Amino acid sequence: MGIIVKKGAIGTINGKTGNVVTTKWKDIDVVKSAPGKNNKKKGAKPQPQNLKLGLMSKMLSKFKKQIKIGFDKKTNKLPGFQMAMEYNIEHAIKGEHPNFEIDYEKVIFSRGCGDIAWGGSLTLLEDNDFLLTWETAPTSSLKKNGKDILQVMVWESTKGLSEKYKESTVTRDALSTVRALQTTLVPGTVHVWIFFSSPDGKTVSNTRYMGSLQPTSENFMFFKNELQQPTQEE
Amino acid sequence: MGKYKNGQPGGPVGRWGDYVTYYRLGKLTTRRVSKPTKFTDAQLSNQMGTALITFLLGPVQDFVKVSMKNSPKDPGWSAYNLASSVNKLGAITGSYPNKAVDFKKVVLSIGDIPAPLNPQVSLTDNKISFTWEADLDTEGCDENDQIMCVAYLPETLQAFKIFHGAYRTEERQIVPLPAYSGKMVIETYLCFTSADRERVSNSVYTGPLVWDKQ
Repeated sequence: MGIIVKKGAIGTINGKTGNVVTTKWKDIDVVKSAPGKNNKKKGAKPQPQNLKLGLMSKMLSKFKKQIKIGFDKKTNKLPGFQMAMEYNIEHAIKGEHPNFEIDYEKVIFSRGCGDIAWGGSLTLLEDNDFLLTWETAPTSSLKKNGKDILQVMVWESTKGLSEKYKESTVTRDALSTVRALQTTLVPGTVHVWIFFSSPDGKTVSNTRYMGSLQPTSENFMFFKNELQQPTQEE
Repeated sequence: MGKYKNGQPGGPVGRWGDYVTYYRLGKLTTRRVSKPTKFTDAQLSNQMGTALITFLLGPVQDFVKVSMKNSPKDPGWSAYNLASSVNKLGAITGSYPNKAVDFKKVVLSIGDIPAPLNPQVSLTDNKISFTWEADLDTEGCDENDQIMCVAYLPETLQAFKIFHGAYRTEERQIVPLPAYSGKMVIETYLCFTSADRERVSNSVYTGPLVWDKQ
């Protein structure tokens, strides 16, 4: 793999040219040889590693921004997403080949020494809102880490959908937050994780799995209102 | 880090970013650092030791900065440098690739105040209770000494720390734990700090506790 040091007058080229591919890796312009011919036989059974990779990348690729906050460090040799994949494939997949499943309780999106969210609960409210609560350790000081920013990951496992990323403004000292579930995630089984990141982004806590919810379409207020509205015939 | 060995006109010698400068056959030479692709077992063993100590000291970094601030160390060393050096040499057992941290041997403070006498620890009602004997007759023990304690959770890399708690004469310190369901091992440590925060005692390992709150 070669690194492009001098850029041309019109910048660099991206894509395949003959036997080489020009691309960006960790914000560095690089040239590498084009992938070779695939010699795998059609219909061959996928290897366990390929199944695990597909299963985990399908989920984690939806949380790239949170993983960037939770795993990216200048001192790391690997990019944050690659580290998250490596850890989760090793620790958060259960089952035997070929019936692998994600162990949602063990999935992590961040790894660090910051105070984790202790205690806490996850409750489904009316209109498919959900209430998240957490606690702080009695020995830790909210003056010190109260302004840590809450990061929430929401994943619907049956359809394989995630909540769209929004920049969070909720801080640790709020101790609770209410969020609305996106309509696309309902109905289904929704898993929720949280972690905290310091305002300067240097410290993150480990991820905490808060639990799962079973929201239904009937729980939406507009749906309820429609049910309650009298028809013209009445 | 480059060092000016012969004064500033002599140029820096040593590593500076991706470049290394040194005298070769009497000439000042600078070259780009090569990136090793293979490591020997000894190098991998050293890297594993560093990684273990980095994970170990991460949650107690602020504690060590206080407790080892005035501990004897080489010039230019920080408290963290001392803590990582002492623990890397003394608190790691096994040989590569089966190295592990021996929590009995972890040192979190070094000083000349007498360490807590007969320290005990217990866990009841989600509270950790540290006890010790005041031992005021021993030379160096002051009634204004305050306890510093750490409850360390290796599985989640968390630590509950008290930087200056009960006085030596109170003989008891309670550390409340947060609400949490699950089973975890807690490693506990104690030491004393003087009222002016200038002196500390050596840390004492008080044993593991099992936190099992379903």
